[in-house]
Amino acid sequence: MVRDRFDLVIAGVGGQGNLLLSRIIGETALRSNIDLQISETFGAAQRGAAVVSHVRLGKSYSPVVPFGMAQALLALEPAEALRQSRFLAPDGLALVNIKPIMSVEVLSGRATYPSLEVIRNLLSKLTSDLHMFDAQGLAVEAGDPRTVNLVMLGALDACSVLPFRTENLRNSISSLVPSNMIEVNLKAFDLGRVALLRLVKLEPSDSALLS
Amino acid sequence: MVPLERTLTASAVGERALLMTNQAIARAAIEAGVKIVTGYPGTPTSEIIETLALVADSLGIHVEWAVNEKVGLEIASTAAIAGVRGMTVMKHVGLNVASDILMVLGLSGVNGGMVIVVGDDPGGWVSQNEQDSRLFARMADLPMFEPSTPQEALRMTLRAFELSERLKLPILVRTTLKVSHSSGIVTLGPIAKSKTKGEYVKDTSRYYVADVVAQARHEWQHKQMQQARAILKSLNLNPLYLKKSQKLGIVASGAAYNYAAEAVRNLNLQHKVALLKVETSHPLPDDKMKKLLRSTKELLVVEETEPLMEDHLRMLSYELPQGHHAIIHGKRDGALPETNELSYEIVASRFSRLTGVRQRQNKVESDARLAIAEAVPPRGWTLCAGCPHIGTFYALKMLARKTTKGRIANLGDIGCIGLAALPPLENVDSSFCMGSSIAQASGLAYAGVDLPIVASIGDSTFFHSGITPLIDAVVNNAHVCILICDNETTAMTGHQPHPGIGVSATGKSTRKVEIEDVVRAIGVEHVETTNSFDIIETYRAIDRALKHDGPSVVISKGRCAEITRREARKLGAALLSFVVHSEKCKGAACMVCIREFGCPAIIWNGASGKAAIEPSLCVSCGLCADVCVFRAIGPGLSS
Repeated sequence: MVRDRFDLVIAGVGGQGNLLLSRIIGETALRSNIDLQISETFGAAQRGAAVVSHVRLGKSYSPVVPFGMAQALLALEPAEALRQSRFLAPDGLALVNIKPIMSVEVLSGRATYPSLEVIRNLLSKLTSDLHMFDAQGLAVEAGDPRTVNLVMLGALDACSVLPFRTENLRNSISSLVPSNMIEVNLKAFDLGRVALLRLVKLEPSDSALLS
Repeated sequence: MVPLERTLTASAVGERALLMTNQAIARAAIEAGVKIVTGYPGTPTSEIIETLALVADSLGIHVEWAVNEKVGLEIASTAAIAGVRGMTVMKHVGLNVASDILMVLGLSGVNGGMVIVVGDDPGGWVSQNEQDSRLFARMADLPMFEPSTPQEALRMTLRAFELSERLKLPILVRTTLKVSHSSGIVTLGPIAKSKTKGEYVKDTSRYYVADVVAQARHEWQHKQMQQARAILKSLNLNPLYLKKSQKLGIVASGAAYNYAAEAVRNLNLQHKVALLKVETSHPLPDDKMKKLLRSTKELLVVEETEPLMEDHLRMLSYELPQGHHAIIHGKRDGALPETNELSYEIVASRFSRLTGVRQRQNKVESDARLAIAEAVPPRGWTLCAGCPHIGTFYALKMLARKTTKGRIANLGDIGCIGLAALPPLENVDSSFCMGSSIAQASGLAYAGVDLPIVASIGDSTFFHSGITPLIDAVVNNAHVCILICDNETTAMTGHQPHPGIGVSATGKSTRKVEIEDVVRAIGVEHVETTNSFDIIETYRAIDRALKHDGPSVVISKGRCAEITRREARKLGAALLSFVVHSEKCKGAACMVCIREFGCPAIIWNGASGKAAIEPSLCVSCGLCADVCVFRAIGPGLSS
């Protein structure tokens, strides 16, 4: 399924749930006997700053992914996809949520936020394996806008790049989110999987996907 | 999934767990049978105390957030003098505060194992500076370990407890931001039984440290450090990987070692370079360093942040015959940057240059990356939507405009308060170190500065080191207003309790120290408590305080918005959002709420040309309704 190593960079904004994603993948790797290292930027409790998690599966020496080495970039926010794109390997997989979160600099008119078309054009120069979709909308459909992180994880899983089975990821999700949130998070995960498969036009039957 | 509490207390030897370095250090303390753990919140090490607090009661460990790092070190080290194992945790600048007692502990020594964990911040991403704590280990002449991974952090912390007890010296463990916040798979070890009850033995020849005792104990400390060198050598730490024909020797420690090892693999240098991984930053492994100096032509020292090992290697090279040691590259000759955090990219490019092995480069792609760098909008730190400080500093900003010179000197302090220096509030002027604002304000007043002078300080910072300068201001009658912004938590570092909360580190109800009582007891005559969410009230309170001839205190109270948000979530309650009545909003002609006030929940609707409020961010604090003079903002009916 993968080579001996898999480097993933998760880009987002504080409060979007980056840390939960790296924890879900990490615990799944631990239980699958796959070596891993995680590096995270967090340092303040404030919301709204750029947050990035590096997840390295397989043997690596540094928890930080070198520039241009990540096989996949999972962006919970489009401008953050740009910010962390330096880590993405040429023609690596990029999954991008299209719902922007404006920074205070943008809101107060001190900076401009690039249009989605500009973002798409810039990212497509780095990779042809680029998929931008409305994960936020799917999170709302799942029942909670905060599950956008799980929608993105579902999409990543559908790309068959992670070295574990869907079932194992689902188990990790169930054991890491609060019990009253399991259902909505799993639904978000499944919606993300379906959405990605439709994007890449694989169109398998939903029943097979959700099994 | 195994919950963290179970992993921490598990006696199953050999069990594997995914732990962050900070959690691994907590587990090491448990395996060492620690009895007392203290600390003050500070990135990157806050999670160590938070992790231990989860299991403190079940394991019978005294875990506390000390009022500051000096108090924390004094408590834990004296418990260790009484024979139980102690640990204290802080960030690099916390060690400055604790350094007074640190410098004496090497003379008195301890009896139970005593470990001081200090987290450095190369680059100063979340600190006032990027000082290197290894220099403290050298100054205090105490052993220091430096792990690179969570597993090493566990192993070295455990070893530090054992070594401390053997040498009767406190031992330091140094991490850096990148190491502290990295996670990996850790194998758990057995939990040791250690002494649970302290004993106090009077011994003035050790503990009355002055004069002849200090002289005698200094000699003792030097002997202990000689022994430390011998023990560390026998433990075979500091692995040295020599190759038959090495082009280059590399000396590295901590996160820098991780970058170096990764670069060796990625550039396929395994058979071309010799590598020394330094695990004991003090005392340094002289024998292995000399061996490496003798066996390579060139040596690159990769370390964060000061050239400590590099200078030591230069010193060692004088002991070797001329022409029989490597040329040393590092920060001194500009091979590596002298300041800021290192990265894999910096390290790999230097390896490439020194070995002649080329890195992959892609021109087209780097053009694309340049275009991207230009397009990325900045996303810096901000005060949160609904933050009480936004109200306090908006009031102060408005007040400053009404003063004779149109400005107020507003000396800031550490914590979220500093974020009020950022646009659009741009109100706080400075940020130096914990508690500095008050004495700095006094300094300006005594210097005869002809401006109204305010010192803005947070609640936790006030307890940490704001009380003594306030006493000084009272005694010397400094004409300054001390604005204590009480958001009922230590917000910036992740909402730890402080003495004004009435909750202990382990979540138990405890005696609450009221800021207003403290201030009055010190003798401040003009004291007012105001509501941060009432701009007019706060404005008037500060105005009155500044008119008072002498030191005055305004306590601006308002709960941290993040706590409000968390509590609502816990209760499953929806927070109502305020709304902009667009027919009343003056749009681009005004924009005061966006350009002057700057609550992140207020957004600009480009299509309508009016302000709007993002309901998912609004906590209904109501501040913006007061800011809008056109009364275009009011409470909404539903979220």
